[in-house]
Amino acid sequence: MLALTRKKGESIIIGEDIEVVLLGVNRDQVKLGINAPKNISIYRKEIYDIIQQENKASTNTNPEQLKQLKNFVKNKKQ
Amino acid sequence: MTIETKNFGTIEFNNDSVITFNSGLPAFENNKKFVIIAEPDTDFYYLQSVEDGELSLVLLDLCNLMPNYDPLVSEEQLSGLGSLGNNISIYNVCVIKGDIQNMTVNLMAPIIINNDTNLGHQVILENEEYSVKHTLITE
Repeated sequence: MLALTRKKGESIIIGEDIEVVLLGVNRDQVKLGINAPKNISIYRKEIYDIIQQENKASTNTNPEQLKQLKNFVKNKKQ
Repeated sequence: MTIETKNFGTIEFNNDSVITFNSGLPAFENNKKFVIIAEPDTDFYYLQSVEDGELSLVLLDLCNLMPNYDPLVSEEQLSGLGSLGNNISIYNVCVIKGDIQNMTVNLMAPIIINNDTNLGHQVILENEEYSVKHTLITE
Protein backbone atom coordinates (compact mmCIF):
# COMPACT_ATOMS: atom_id res chain seq x y z
CA MET A 1 0.00 0.00 0.00
CA LEU A 2 1.20 3.47 -0.86
CA ALA A 3 1.42 5.68 2.23
CA LEU A 4 1.63 9.46 1.90
CA THR A 5 1.89 12.05 4.62
CA ARG A 6 -0.34 15.08 4.16
CA LYS A 7 -1.02 18.20 6.21
CA LYS A 8 -4.42 19.78 6.76
CA GLY A 9 -5.55 21.47 3.56
CA GLU A 10 -3.28 19.40 1.35
CA SER A 11 -4.60 16.85 -1.08
CA ILE A 12 -3.72 13.98 -3.34
CA ILE A 13 -4.84 13.29 -6.89
CA ILE A 14 -5.85 9.79 -8.00
CA GLY A 15 -5.80 9.33 -11.74
CA GLU A 16 -6.71 12.51 -13.57
CA ASP A 17 -9.89 13.59 -11.94
CA ILE A 18 -10.19 12.37 -8.37
CA GLU A 19 -8.94 14.64 -5.62
CA VAL A 20 -8.90 13.70 -1.95
CA VAL A 21 -8.44 16.68 0.38
CA LEU A 22 -7.48 16.39 4.03
CA LEU A 23 -9.99 18.80 5.56
CA GLY A 24 -9.14 18.34 9.20
CA VAL A 25 -7.80 16.15 11.97
CA ASN A 26 -9.30 15.68 15.42
CA ARG A 27 -7.60 13.11 17.66
CA ASP A 28 -8.05 9.79 15.85
CA GLN A 29 -10.56 11.12 13.32
CA VAL A 30 -9.69 12.50 9.93
CA LYS A 31 -12.12 14.44 7.77
CA LEU A 32 -11.70 13.92 4.03
CA GLY A 33 -13.19 15.86 1.15
CA ILE A 34 -13.46 14.14 -2.20
CA ASN A 35 -13.81 15.78 -5.58
CA ALA A 36 -14.66 13.19 -8.20
CA PRO A 37 -16.74 12.87 -11.36
CA LYS A 38 -20.40 12.20 -10.65
CA ASN A 39 -20.26 8.70 -12.08
CA ILE A 40 -17.74 7.61 -9.45
CA SER A 41 -19.44 6.03 -6.45
CA ILE A 42 -17.90 6.73 -3.08
CA TYR A 43 -18.76 4.60 -0.08
CA ARG A 44 -17.67 4.10 3.49
CA LYS A 45 -15.94 0.77 3.17
CA GLU A 46 -17.52 -0.99 6.14
CA ILE A 47 -20.97 -0.14 4.77
CA TYR A 48 -20.07 -1.24 1.25
CA ASP A 49 -18.86 -4.56 2.70
CA ILE A 50 -22.19 -5.15 4.45
CA ILE A 51 -24.18 -4.34 1.30
CA GLN A 52 -22.00 -6.82 -0.62
CA GLN A 53 -22.72 -9.50 2.00
CA GLU A 54 -26.46 -8.90 1.82
CA ASN A 55 -26.51 -9.00 -1.98
CA LYS A 56 -24.57 -12.26 -1.94
CA ALA A 57 -26.87 -13.73 0.69
CA SER A 58 -29.92 -12.77 -1.38
CA THR A 59 -28.68 -14.90 -4.27
CA ASN A 60 -28.80 -17.98 -2.04
CA THR A 61 -32.58 -17.86 -1.73
CA ASN A 62 -34.18 -20.87 -3.32
CA PRO A 63 -37.60 -20.84 -5.00
CA GLU A 64 -38.97 -23.19 -2.33
CA GLN A 65 -38.31 -20.62 0.39
CA LEU A 66 -39.90 -17.96 -1.71
CA LYS A 67 -43.00 -20.03 -2.26
CA GLN A 68 -43.38 -20.39 1.51
CA LEU A 69 -42.83 -16.71 1.95
CA LYS A 70 -45.38 -15.88 -0.70
CA ASN A 71 -48.07 -17.81 1.14
CA PHE A 72 -47.01 -16.34 4.44
CA VAL A 73 -47.24 -12.78 3.23
CA LYS A 74 -50.57 -13.47 1.58
CA ASN A 75 -51.98 -14.82 4.83
CA LYS A 76 -50.71 -11.83 6.74
CA LYS A 77 -52.46 -9.47 4.37
CA GLN A 78 -55.85 -11.09 4.77
CA MET B 1 -33.06 -13.82 -26.52
CA THR B 2 -32.96 -16.64 -24.01
CA ILE B 3 -30.81 -17.60 -21.06
CA GLU B 4 -30.64 -20.75 -18.98
CA THR B 5 -31.18 -19.81 -15.33
CA LYS B 6 -30.69 -21.68 -12.08
CA ASN B 7 -34.06 -20.78 -10.58
CA PHE B 8 -36.41 -20.26 -13.50
CA GLY B 9 -35.25 -22.63 -16.21
CA THR B 10 -34.84 -21.10 -19.64
CA ILE B 11 -36.23 -17.61 -19.76
CA GLU B 12 -36.94 -15.49 -22.78
CA PHE B 13 -36.42 -11.76 -22.77
CA ASN B 14 -36.11 -8.95 -25.23
CA ASN B 15 -33.61 -6.14 -25.20
CA ASP B 16 -36.22 -3.57 -24.21
CA SER B 17 -36.68 -5.23 -20.85
CA VAL B 18 -32.99 -5.37 -19.96
CA ILE B 19 -31.96 -2.99 -17.18
CA THR B 20 -28.37 -1.83 -17.23
CA PHE B 21 -26.48 -1.22 -13.99
CA ASN B 22 -23.42 0.62 -15.21
CA SER B 23 -21.62 0.17 -11.88
CA GLY B 24 -22.90 -3.37 -11.40
CA LEU B 25 -24.15 -4.24 -7.92
CA PRO B 26 -22.01 -4.40 -4.79
CA ALA B 27 -20.52 -7.94 -4.78
CA PHE B 28 -21.42 -8.31 -8.47
CA GLU B 29 -19.62 -5.35 -9.92
CA ASN B 30 -19.06 -7.06 -13.27
CA ASN B 31 -22.70 -7.97 -13.84
CA LYS B 32 -24.35 -5.05 -15.56
CA LYS B 33 -27.41 -6.48 -17.32
CA PHE B 34 -30.49 -7.76 -15.55
CA VAL B 35 -34.16 -8.40 -16.09
CA ILE B 36 -36.90 -8.16 -13.47
CA ILE B 37 -39.12 -11.20 -13.04
CA ALA B 38 -42.30 -10.64 -11.06
CA GLU B 39 -43.59 -13.26 -8.64
CA PRO B 40 -47.31 -13.20 -9.50
CA ASP B 41 -49.73 -11.89 -6.86
CA THR B 42 -46.98 -10.75 -4.54
CA ASP B 43 -44.75 -7.74 -4.02
CA PHE B 44 -41.71 -9.93 -4.69
CA TYR B 45 -39.51 -9.80 -7.76
CA TYR B 46 -36.30 -11.39 -8.92
CA LEU B 47 -33.43 -9.47 -10.36
CA GLN B 48 -32.04 -12.03 -12.80
CA SER B 49 -28.72 -11.45 -14.50
CA VAL B 50 -28.86 -12.03 -18.25
CA GLU B 51 -25.09 -12.51 -18.31
CA ASP B 52 -24.98 -15.18 -15.59
CA GLY B 53 -27.90 -17.59 -15.29
CA GLU B 54 -26.80 -18.56 -11.77
CA LEU B 55 -27.20 -15.03 -10.47
CA SER B 56 -30.51 -13.74 -9.21
CA LEU B 57 -31.42 -11.62 -6.21
CA VAL B 58 -34.76 -11.43 -4.43
CA LEU B 59 -36.36 -8.00 -4.40
CA LEU B 60 -39.34 -6.60 -2.58
CA ASP B 61 -41.42 -3.60 -3.53
CA LEU B 62 -42.20 -1.99 -0.18
CA CYS B 63 -45.04 0.27 -1.40
CA ASN B 64 -47.68 -1.91 0.24
CA LEU B 65 -45.81 -3.46 3.12
CA MET B 66 -44.01 -0.33 4.31
CA PRO B 67 -45.78 2.69 2.84
CA ASN B 68 -43.80 5.07 5.04
CA TYR B 69 -40.46 3.99 3.62
CA ASP B 70 -38.87 7.22 2.50
CA PRO B 71 -35.35 6.88 1.14
CA LEU B 72 -33.24 10.04 1.02
CA VAL B 73 -31.28 10.08 -2.20
CA SER B 74 -29.12 12.88 -3.54
CA GLU B 75 -29.18 14.06 -7.12
CA GLU B 76 -25.55 12.96 -7.54
CA GLN B 77 -26.43 9.41 -6.58
CA LEU B 78 -28.95 9.25 -9.41
CA SER B 79 -26.87 11.07 -11.98
CA GLY B 80 -26.05 7.82 -13.73
CA LEU B 81 -29.70 7.03 -14.44
CA GLY B 82 -30.25 9.52 -17.24
CA SER B 83 -32.95 12.14 -17.20
CA LEU B 84 -35.43 11.41 -14.44
CA GLY B 85 -39.18 11.55 -14.97
CA ASN B 86 -41.81 10.04 -12.73
CA ASN B 87 -41.32 6.55 -14.03
CA ILE B 88 -39.04 5.28 -11.29
CA SER B 89 -39.14 1.97 -9.44
CA ILE B 90 -37.63 1.28 -6.05
CA TYR B 91 -36.91 -2.24 -4.84
CA ASN B 92 -35.19 -3.58 -1.75
CA VAL B 93 -32.98 -6.66 -1.56
CA CYS B 94 -34.30 -9.51 0.59
CA VAL B 95 -32.38 -12.20 2.38
CA ILE B 96 -34.03 -15.39 3.57
CA LYS B 97 -31.85 -17.58 5.74
CA GLY B 98 -33.45 -20.86 6.70
CA ASP B 99 -36.87 -20.19 8.13
CA ILE B 100 -38.93 -17.57 6.31
CA GLN B 101 -39.62 -15.82 9.60
CA ASN B 102 -36.00 -14.75 9.48
CA MET B 103 -36.39 -12.85 6.24
CA THR B 104 -34.65 -9.49 6.31
CA VAL B 105 -34.88 -6.55 3.92
CA ASN B 106 -32.06 -4.20 3.15
CA LEU B 107 -33.58 -0.76 3.67
CA MET B 108 -30.26 1.03 3.52
CA ALA B 109 -29.42 0.19 -0.07
CA PRO B 110 -32.47 0.33 -2.35
CA ILE B 111 -32.23 -0.51 -6.02
CA ILE B 112 -33.52 2.40 -8.06
CA ILE B 113 -34.53 1.95 -11.67
CA ASN B 114 -35.37 4.66 -14.16
CA ASN B 115 -37.95 2.94 -16.36
CA ASP B 116 -37.62 5.64 -19.03
CA THR B 117 -33.98 4.80 -19.68
CA ASN B 118 -33.79 1.24 -18.30
CA LEU B 119 -30.86 2.26 -16.16
CA GLY B 120 -30.52 1.09 -12.56
CA HIS B 121 -28.31 1.71 -9.57
CA GLN B 122 -28.10 0.38 -6.04
CA VAL B 123 -27.88 3.45 -3.85
CA ILE B 124 -26.55 3.56 -0.32
CA LEU B 125 -28.74 5.96 1.67
CA GLU B 126 -27.60 8.50 4.16
CA ASN B 127 -30.74 7.86 6.27
CA GLU B 128 -29.40 6.55 9.56
CA GLU B 129 -32.69 5.01 10.63
CA TYR B 130 -32.70 2.40 7.87
CA SER B 131 -31.07 -0.90 8.67
CA VAL B 132 -29.34 -3.28 6.30
CA LYS B 133 -31.13 -6.18 7.96
CA HIS B 134 -34.63 -4.99 8.69
CA THR B 135 -36.93 -7.71 9.99
CA LEU B 136 -40.23 -7.44 8.18
CA ILE B 137 -42.03 -10.25 9.92
CA THR B 138 -42.21 -9.44 13.61
CA GLU B 139 -44.45 -12.17 14.95
